[in-house]
Amino acid sequence: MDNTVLLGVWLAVGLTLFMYSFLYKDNVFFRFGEHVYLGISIGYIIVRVIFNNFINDLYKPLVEDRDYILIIPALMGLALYTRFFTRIAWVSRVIFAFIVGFGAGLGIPRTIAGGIFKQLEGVLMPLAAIKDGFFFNADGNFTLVNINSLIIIVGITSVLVYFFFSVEHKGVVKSVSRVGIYFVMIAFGASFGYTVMGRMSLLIGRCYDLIEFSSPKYYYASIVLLIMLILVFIIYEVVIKKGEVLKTNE
Amino acid sequence: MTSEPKFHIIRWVIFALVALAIIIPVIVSEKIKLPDTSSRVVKNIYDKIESLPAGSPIILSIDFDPSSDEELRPMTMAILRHVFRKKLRVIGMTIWSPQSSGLMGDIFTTAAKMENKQDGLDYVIMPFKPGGSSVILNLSQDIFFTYPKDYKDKSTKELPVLKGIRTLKDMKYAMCISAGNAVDVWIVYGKEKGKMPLGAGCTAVMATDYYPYLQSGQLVGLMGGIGAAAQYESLIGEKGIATERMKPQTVVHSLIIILIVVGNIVYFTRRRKG
Repeated sequence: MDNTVLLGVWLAVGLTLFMYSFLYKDNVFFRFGEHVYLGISIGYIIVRVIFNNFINDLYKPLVEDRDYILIIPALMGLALYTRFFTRIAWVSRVIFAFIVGFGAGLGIPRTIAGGIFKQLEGVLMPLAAIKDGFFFNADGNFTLVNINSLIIIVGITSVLVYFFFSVEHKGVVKSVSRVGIYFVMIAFGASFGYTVMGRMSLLIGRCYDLIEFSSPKYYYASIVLLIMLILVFIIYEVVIKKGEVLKTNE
Repeated sequence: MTSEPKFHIIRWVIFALVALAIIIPVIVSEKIKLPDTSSRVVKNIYDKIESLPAGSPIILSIDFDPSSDEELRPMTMAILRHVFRKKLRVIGMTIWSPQSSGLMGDIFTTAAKMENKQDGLDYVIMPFKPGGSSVILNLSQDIFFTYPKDYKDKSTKELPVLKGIRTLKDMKYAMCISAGNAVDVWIVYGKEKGKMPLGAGCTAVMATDYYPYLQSGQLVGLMGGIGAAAQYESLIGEKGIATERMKPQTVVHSLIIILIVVGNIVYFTRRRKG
């Protein structure tokens, strides 16, 4: 086996175990793993942005293709850093205003069209299309689409009532908001179920790797490193901590 | 105060049970058989891809980074293998993070090797461009202006895979596999501008957020987490890592349900006792 692959396996196993050592308690190995992960991520992102975006999208077109129009966005980008200099910090605010204005102009109409109107359409259209009966579609076949829409309408209304605090929750409002709570609970339950699945997938993925890397092919990487980690914790807890306690007593 | 050590032990017992619930099914994996099922929302994506004629261009937006790799790679692999078998032309891109493009390169290369496909001819990987929604809006005007060069620094105009394609409207299908809000961006900007059918894959945590888009027809289908990936593998007849991982997943889910029930019984019993 290639030595670089082997080194990668041992590193992966070591860092995975370092991260899981947090189950025992916050410790130096966990922090090391955490910092390595963050450092590598940020380093990788910086390198990619420099080569993919700065060099390919700005430097090369500007220097090689003489595309001078790119000077404008480049200067605007640089102007954001003027906020570090008190005297000319106002320049960055102009650029931020441009960014916010551009973002809002781009986002608001599309979000309203795609996020609100389309959603309303999706809920109301099946109900508006009822012609031949609630449980039957235009071809006379049984359908549950209308029931879905009805449930969604009841759900949205009751949840909105539940979160509407300008009116005291009593009488009809209380009953409707009670229905709203059930809808919220059902939604939270579904989210929780999916969350468990997601988190367990990540754990299972790592366990698969740890089990695979405990084979002789990888020189028992998982087993060796797990034993070493446990030994270090035992030595720290029993020998060093005990020594510290004895010193304090003396 | 007296109950604290007890809870400390219970915590460790739960950790041990979860570990066993994962390790044992992994070891005896071959003996566990799970039924082949697929939900309507996952099958809709499969049916959509099946309905596309060979050579149709599609976009696959890989919007996740290594932290979600374990969960989203299986579904990406299953989708890619399916579209490669259907001889569709795939444009791989990302609006999420510079980390995604490296990950995408690895996933595409692996799937292409399995299905014997060539970079530039059957698929192309585009580099990461910052801007998110602006990138999608640019695509709706001109793909070659947005991506003059591919991930390997080749001029996109010379790539056979992009022949006859100019804008997002030329796409026959788009799919966003995301660990963040990229699906929202694709729905609001991509779907509205390109008018092509849009499918989504996401981490399980986010799946419930996207169900409303199915009712409104903004998404043709939805794949949430490893469960959906296993269903897709079953649909394409290629049982892979997702199917394998569903075995410990099923056991650990059952354990969690039991723990929730036990926890509730203990809670209500204690409350009754005061």
